Amino acid sequence: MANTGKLPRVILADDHTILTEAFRKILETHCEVVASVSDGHALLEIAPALRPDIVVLDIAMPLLNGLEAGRRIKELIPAIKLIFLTMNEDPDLAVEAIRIGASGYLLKKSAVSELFKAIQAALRGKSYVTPQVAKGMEDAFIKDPEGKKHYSLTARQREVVQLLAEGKSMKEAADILNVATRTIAFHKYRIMEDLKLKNTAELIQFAMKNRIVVP
Amino acid sequence: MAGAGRESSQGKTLARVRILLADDHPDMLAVVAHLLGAIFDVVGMVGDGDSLLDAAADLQPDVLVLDISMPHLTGIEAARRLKKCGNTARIVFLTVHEDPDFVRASLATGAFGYVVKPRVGTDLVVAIREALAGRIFISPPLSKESLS
Repeated sequence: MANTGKLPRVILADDHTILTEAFRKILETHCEVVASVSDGHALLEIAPALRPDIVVLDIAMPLLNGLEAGRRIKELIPAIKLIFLTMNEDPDLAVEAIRIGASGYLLKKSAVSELFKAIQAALRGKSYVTPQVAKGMEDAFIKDPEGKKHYSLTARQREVVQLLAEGKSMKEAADILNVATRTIAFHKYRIMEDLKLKNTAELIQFAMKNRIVVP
Repeated sequence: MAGAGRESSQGKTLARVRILLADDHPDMLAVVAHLLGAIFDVVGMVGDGDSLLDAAADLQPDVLVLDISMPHLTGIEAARRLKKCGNTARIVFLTVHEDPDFVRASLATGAFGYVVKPRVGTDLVVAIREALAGRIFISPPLSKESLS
């Protein structure tokens, strides 16, 4: 492991606590696991304070997903390296992760040795994608060289969409984001108008298609 | 787009996207050609800026993947000249330089992509895809500083 005498400092983020505990054990001889959290908001609170070298994070986390949290961490502190760990084998998700700056992208079924590979690569400024996903990306690119259209929502809009798609009411979403309910309503209806979505069901479908919520 | 007369959808095979590579390190060329060869059609490889201009004119590729530091003519200067001549190939830079000034200068030539070599394995194919779609991609360690 690339080493300047100190162990690399790692934060783990996954809502499956059994996994974070398992990873903590696996990593602890080679890294200093300084914290583990189970949702994207908690991650955003502690990452700037603890300034880890690496964050190993799941994508599908409640309240704020890993891609969104990761995107914001990279904006705040570009030096923090992100290694994504997901059950979802969709190559478009990997592309999105790379676009936001992932240093590593692994499947939960990947071997543990790949986690160490990804950490080493990340510490050297390089990037690593598990071979199965890399192959999936290749195949996707062959089929569709130009890629899908990206809907551009603001960060706030994506937050609102995720919460609503998770089944939160507008009031609940408002409480979580610390805004007025009418602000949520404003965002929701604006988004639906811009994207021509007719009802909440279509909003949820949109959220899933665009990786704002991951099944 | 120059070169590929791509037919669309419904069971017809797509003619592959044609890519020309330029780097003064033959090892790098080999690695990149291997990386891209499964997905795209690597139509040529050159080792300096002058050869790049000739090859671009002859081969009319869809995409150019260029190193910046090359003998005779840098990648940035070559890109400027190609643009001046009206060449429409999408340009993606692949380089060791991580200086935001280089990024700005590179994008100012009309290039769509800027990928740093340590991240070639993940970023290059994504950058090419983005470039084909008319979107800019900059390797993530650099994007924030370079665009501000």
